[in-house]
Amino acid sequence: MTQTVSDPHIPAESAPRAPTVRTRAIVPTRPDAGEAEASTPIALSARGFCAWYGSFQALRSVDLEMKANSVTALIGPSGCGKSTFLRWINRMNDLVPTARAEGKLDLHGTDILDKRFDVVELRRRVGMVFQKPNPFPKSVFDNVAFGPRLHRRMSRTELEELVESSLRQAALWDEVKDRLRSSALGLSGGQQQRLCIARAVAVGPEMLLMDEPTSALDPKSTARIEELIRELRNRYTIVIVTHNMQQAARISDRTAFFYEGSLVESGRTLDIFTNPKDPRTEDYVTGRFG
Amino acid sequence: MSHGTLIDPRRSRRRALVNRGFIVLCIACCLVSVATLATLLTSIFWTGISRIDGVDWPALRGESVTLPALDGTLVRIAPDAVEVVDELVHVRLTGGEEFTIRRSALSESGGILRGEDSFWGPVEFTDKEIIWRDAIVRASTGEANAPEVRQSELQKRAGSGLAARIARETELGRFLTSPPSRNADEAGFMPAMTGSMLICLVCAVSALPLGVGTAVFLEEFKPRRRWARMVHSFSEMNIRNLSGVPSIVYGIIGLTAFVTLFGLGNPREPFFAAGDKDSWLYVQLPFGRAAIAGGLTLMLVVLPIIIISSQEALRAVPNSLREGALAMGATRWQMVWNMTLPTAIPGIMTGAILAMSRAIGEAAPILVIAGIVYITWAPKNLMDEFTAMPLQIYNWASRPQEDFHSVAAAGIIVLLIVLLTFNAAAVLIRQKFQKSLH
Repeated sequence: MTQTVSDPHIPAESAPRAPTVRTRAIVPTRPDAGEAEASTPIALSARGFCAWYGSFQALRSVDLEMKANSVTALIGPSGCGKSTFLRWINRMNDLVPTARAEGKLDLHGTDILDKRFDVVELRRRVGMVFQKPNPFPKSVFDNVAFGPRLHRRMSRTELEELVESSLRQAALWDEVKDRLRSSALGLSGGQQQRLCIARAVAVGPEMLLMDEPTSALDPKSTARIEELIRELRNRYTIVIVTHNMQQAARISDRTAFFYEGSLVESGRTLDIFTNPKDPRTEDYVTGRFG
Repeated sequence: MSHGTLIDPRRSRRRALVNRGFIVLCIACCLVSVATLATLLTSIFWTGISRIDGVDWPALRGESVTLPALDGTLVRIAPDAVEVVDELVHVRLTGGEEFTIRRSALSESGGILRGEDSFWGPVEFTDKEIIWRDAIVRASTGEANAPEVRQSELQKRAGSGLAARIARETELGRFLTSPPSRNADEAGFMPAMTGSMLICLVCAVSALPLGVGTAVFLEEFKPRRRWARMVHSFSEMNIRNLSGVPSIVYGIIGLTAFVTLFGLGNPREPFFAAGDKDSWLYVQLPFGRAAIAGGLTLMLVVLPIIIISSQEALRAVPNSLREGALAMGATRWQMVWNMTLPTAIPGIMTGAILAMSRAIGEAAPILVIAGIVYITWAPKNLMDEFTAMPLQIYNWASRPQEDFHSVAAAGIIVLLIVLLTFNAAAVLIRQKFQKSLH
């Protein structure tokens, strides 16, 4: 089943830095991704992972593996549990009083659901970017410096270097280098979201969780973020929740499809989109529901 | 169903009528409250302004006359020397001098004697009056220009029964710096003001950290366990109830807890005392009817208000900021200290200032702690006896002499000015920081 969808977000010629050949079909753009897969280590693995909010079971026995330095997209209709899964990876769900989870969730072999596991250190290692850009009501500089300052006392020059490199990684440096001292709330939505990525990157994580990072942005900003994700893939393990199937196809190496709290199918993005095994996956990726 | 069936002309006319009636009712309510406030303020102002401004407005009703002289000093003439006939004010001094001035000449800011050639209103001076005026002018400008009429002569005249008293400072300054007196003309506000300031300071220093800390705990450290959550919400509910407790009840609690230390000792013979009784650092236990007991009692009164307003301010901080901070590996404490509190500080400050303005105007609990006392000195230290502005006002207002009522009104004006300053500060802080909160 192939469905040709013209990409509304990026004209092909405007993305010269994209490392891969772009196609106009909803077909994964990294067909080569699978080749190196076998050798890459597993960053995160979930086994029999279940999650509840009170008595409501949001996730049922999820088994999923995520390779290091790759982009994993979590797709599925609203309320299917993909965001819940994401928020358990850095234990943000600890904030929800009624939330609890069972099963195993291993980050490089350590169970992060363990009561003795240091949540603060986990969150430093696993950064998160939220659906709505949430810059702090501080200056651009202080936004990026916020995280590093939490963890270590740094000299001024050290901090300035770190802020610059983080902003460069988030492809924001050139736009804000002259207004580092002005409020981050004055940036545009797309810039704010890239600032949030810079902020997450500044504390030196190994993994980045993104919860629909582009759903509040316009197409142009979305394109920039996607480009950024492709660049960041080399350094970080990225998990992205998205409602936009084209986006999942464009930027992810692997895709996991959630439906009503269960993981229906996961695998290489190419396979999920071109050769889904489960009929529900096929219905979803072809836009028959969701 | 067509739209025609939905529209009933009678009903829509009635609806419009009700709507208009409601608006009229709202406007009427506003007018009534504004009128009440205006009446209150005007009456207080007119009664009390003489004690502050120096122009004796009741004087124009024939009681006494105060004349501002060239250098802003005041000459007050006793009531029995003044007679008001229609537009004219006859002043007969006991020395035999007489003069008549028009009532309009006693205008609010000028007065007939301000400057030799700047008279307000048409004034016909008699010879005697000119002599009298010149004497004051010369006395106030110094001897050099007026060798023939000396200040001492003027004082001699006053002493010889001129029945005119020369006040050497402006009324406001005198009122703010002198102690209360048996004589309404000499009564001042100083001990009450310093007392109020002292207890408010104690109140602010103790209530702010406690209140903000409690609010942070209640808002930011919500427990996860079921029973702990119940304890948490139970204490929150109780704090909300405490804010409705009448303040006199806090006065009784303060009397027990702070004045007598639950009856553990006699304040007159403290079981613990350190330092010299006259020094600033003197400490004793139990406190007795001391300024610190008053301040701590006020703390009890305003604590629930500060807690609740700080909670509101913390609740107004968007959750996304908390998540953002936590997601970068902040501990809860770092999140509160570096993110939530700085963002909420304008709201917290606004609430705290409003709470302080409540505290400074609170009379009932202070009445229980301090009692009706006649205190003519500023508290020497936190363990000293004290009085506060509302108490002093109450004291003056409850006296039978009419003169003291105007003194009380003057005290109210000072208190209101302090309150308005507090509230203005709160508004300014809110406006200044509102921009940074999205």
